[in-house]
Amino acid sequence: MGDDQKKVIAKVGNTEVDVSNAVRDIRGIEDLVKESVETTWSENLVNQIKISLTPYPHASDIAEWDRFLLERYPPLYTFTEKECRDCFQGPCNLEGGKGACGLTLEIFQAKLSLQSACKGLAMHLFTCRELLDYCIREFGEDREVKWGKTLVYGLMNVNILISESPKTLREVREALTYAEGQLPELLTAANVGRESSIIDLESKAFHAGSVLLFAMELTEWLKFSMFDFTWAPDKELTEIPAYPPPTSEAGLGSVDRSKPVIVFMGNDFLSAWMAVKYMKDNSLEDKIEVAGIGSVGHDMIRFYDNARLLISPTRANKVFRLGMGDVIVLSDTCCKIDAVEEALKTDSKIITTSFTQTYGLEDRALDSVDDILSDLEKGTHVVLISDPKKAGEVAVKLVQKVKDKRKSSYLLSTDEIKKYAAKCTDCDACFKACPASLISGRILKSAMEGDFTKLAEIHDKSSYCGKCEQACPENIPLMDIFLAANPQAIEEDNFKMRPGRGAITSNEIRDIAITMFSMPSAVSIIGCGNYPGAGSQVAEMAKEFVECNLSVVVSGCIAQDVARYKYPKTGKTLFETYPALYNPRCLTNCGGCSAQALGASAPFYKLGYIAFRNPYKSALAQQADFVYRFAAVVIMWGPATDIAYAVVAGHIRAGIPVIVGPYGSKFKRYLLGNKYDRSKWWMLHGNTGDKGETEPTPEHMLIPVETVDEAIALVPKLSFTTQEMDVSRQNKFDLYLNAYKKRFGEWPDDWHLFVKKETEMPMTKKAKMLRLLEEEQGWEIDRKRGKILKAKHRDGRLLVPGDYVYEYGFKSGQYITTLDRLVYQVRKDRV
Amino acid sequence: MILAPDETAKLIKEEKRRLLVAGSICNDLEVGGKNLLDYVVDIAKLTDTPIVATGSTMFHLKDNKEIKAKKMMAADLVNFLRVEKWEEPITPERPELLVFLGYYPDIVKMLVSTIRDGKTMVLDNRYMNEATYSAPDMSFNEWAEYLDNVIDNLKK
Repeated sequence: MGDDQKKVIAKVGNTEVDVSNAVRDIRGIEDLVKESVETTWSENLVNQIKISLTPYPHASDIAEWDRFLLERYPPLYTFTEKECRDCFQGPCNLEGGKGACGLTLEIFQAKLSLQSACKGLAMHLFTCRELLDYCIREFGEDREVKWGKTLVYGLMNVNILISESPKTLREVREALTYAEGQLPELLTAANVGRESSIIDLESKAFHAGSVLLFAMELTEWLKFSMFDFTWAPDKELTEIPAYPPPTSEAGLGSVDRSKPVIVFMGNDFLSAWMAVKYMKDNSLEDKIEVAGIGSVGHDMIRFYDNARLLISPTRANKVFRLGMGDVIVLSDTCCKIDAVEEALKTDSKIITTSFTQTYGLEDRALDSVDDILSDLEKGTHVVLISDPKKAGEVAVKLVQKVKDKRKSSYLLSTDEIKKYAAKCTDCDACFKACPASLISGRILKSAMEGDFTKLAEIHDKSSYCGKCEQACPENIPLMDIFLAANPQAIEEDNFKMRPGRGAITSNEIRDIAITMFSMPSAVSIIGCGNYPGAGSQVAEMAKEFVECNLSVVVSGCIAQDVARYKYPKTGKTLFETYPALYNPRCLTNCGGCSAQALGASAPFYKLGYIAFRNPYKSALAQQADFVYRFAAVVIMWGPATDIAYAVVAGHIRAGIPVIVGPYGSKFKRYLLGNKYDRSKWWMLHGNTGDKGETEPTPEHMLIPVETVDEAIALVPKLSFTTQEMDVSRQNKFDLYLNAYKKRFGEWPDDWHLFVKKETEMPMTKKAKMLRLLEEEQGWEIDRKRGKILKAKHRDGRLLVPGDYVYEYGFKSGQYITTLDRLVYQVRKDRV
Repeated sequence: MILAPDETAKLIKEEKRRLLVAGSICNDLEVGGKNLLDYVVDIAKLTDTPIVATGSTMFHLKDNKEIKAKKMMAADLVNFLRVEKWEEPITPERPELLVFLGYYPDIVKMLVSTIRDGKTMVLDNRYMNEATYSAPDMSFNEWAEYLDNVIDNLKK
């Protein structure tokens, strides 16, 4: 900006501040910047911190924060791809040398990371754009959008980037246009001859994540505002613990197959919404079952009480092989490429609705419903109808016509299982292909002899990816065998689900702000829901955390798996047992795929403002610096899709550490800190700018684990913060040490790094902790009085407790930061 | 490089700075009537090699006084290997050969791929191209035979 730029004066209390230099280029957004400062900055703050806002940011605008993260947690790449084929000079094998353009193997990995995040972003931008365009066509661009009566500050992932949550569909379009504009910029940076710094490439991958959370939040908002999805911010605080009620029927056994069944799959709920509307208009609700696979299923139970949520998308093969859908309606994202091929095996009729999944068909949107139905009745199996209203109507009419022409069961008989099992040559090609190491020749041999026990277990554990079937040289239909080996499990897969509730409300944040200093942690479990080994892993984690008084939020397709657990004594699910608040010892479900934006970054941004008046409008770096100092952890369980990759990047950018499960081993990079490198663990004193050494926490920002046990043990460890009340640290020590002892048989070897004083030790463990500090770490302890006499600093010095607390970590209540810019100082540019 | 059992045993014996890494499948799989973790323990005892127990395997090793074992996250292990200064107390010196057993293929592929400085050996029954040394693709029976042969060769 030129020197002749006019001053833009914001008035905060009695202080006037020139904010013309608060943004990279203020021209055209003077009012926005002024309003942002006047409404969210305190007078105290504008006097002490240089105001810096990043409205409608490019990645580089938030680079100060990204650099901090990437320097403390340098990317660890998996180097599984070593050959670049991006340009005409390639392919270039980068192992041991540079590519023709100068590309190194490390930079190549960073480019792949950015490309992955961009793909994830693109997919959801498309979903959001499709929905918005439909809304504008249907309701007009002047239609006001509502936030819900208790969502006081609007949408935080949106506010954090563009200052304001839109109020009309036109403003939503403007907001989305910003997000869409970021994608080509980010993708271009990952192209040949562009960005060459690993830090900058990863910073852009983070940005793709932030923009994705932004777009997901817009999508969630449109769902509520235009289609009356369940939305907690429209309820009073007293209603939320039981909202929405956990009464939705879910699971494969929840469908009444004596009725015609329409199964919806994908990420676009519009055709399902239209089908339900048509059913309601024609009083067909009792005559037809509608069910959803994956995200659309999670959406359907938010607007239609009778909808059935079946299963996550990758396990869709179960639904197809069972022949469950008389009519299957496919939309965009999370559909299998071979969905049509699979569905045709059981004579289902298929309607595909998305421009991105056309299966080589001509669009029938302009044809009459009768013409389309006529063709489908004559023998056409698949049609493309891009008009959701017409697709919904065709689905409802068609399903009533085809129901009686299909078989009542497509399961193999016991004899057929034995016959196929007898073909097994015990080559174990299935075992080698199975990502979860579940099936093997010896299991089939047992089946041939009539013992289906092991096969029955696979029914639950398998993600039904079908790799075993493809690998089998004898073409044994293994997925059909797994299903048929345990038909009872299909009937018993019937449970009550709490539908998604949308955003966390401002009232809940006010509530949790009080308990924040004693609460061990807030955990958000997100992901796509198919993972190797078992269908119970997510429920096991949610149960453990909520019983340990953590605040637990679930979202994405994994939310359904939480509902699969029932307490043996009460027969109640976790959702039926725990209140649906954002509070300790509560469990709430935000919703399907796009709701992954609502459970972690958004509430903590809001907490930053409500509890500490930390400005949030266009202040991502400032808020992330705040969130980083608090105890939030995200667990991403399920496949490492590009959307998951970008969602995770967005949460890391918000300052929240992420644990990824076994399928996350396909991520291209992790962000791991090194607890042994003391130079990495510091914070700045907010008043002096002095750098002080801290505990190594959160030790990692993105770490893969192999098992549920590891995830459970890591959550309290990553939740340690350098500033917390004694009671909070007592809780975390209790969780951390118990988790290790219970799951690995011993305490971890690094707990002493988090000890500052004996009052932070849980009473039941204090004596042992003090003894071990004395015997193994060289501390001086008065065991009789249970006191630390001298603590051993990591540099080897023995310090009296008062000095130690002063020199290691920071006291609760002190203002600390990671960014030089945010250190308090008297500003010189006050007017 | 695909190794025969005798070559595997020879390499393990030759490399003084070695580390066994036992993954979560060790607890779950029986190979040739023997728990996979027992093979890890056998190798550790025969060669006096410490074990990094990842996943939940430590629970089954904690009471075994004949071996040196420590619970670690697999990601932590590979993370410590990328810095010059080795400070992880499981071994006094930076390990030069990491022998993996008991991992889902995707996980061990990820782990060995991150290691740029040091040799890796995977003894699971799926060939791992990303490792410096790997056992070949094998059926369960072949795998049991392979591991038994490795043990026999280590005894020599």
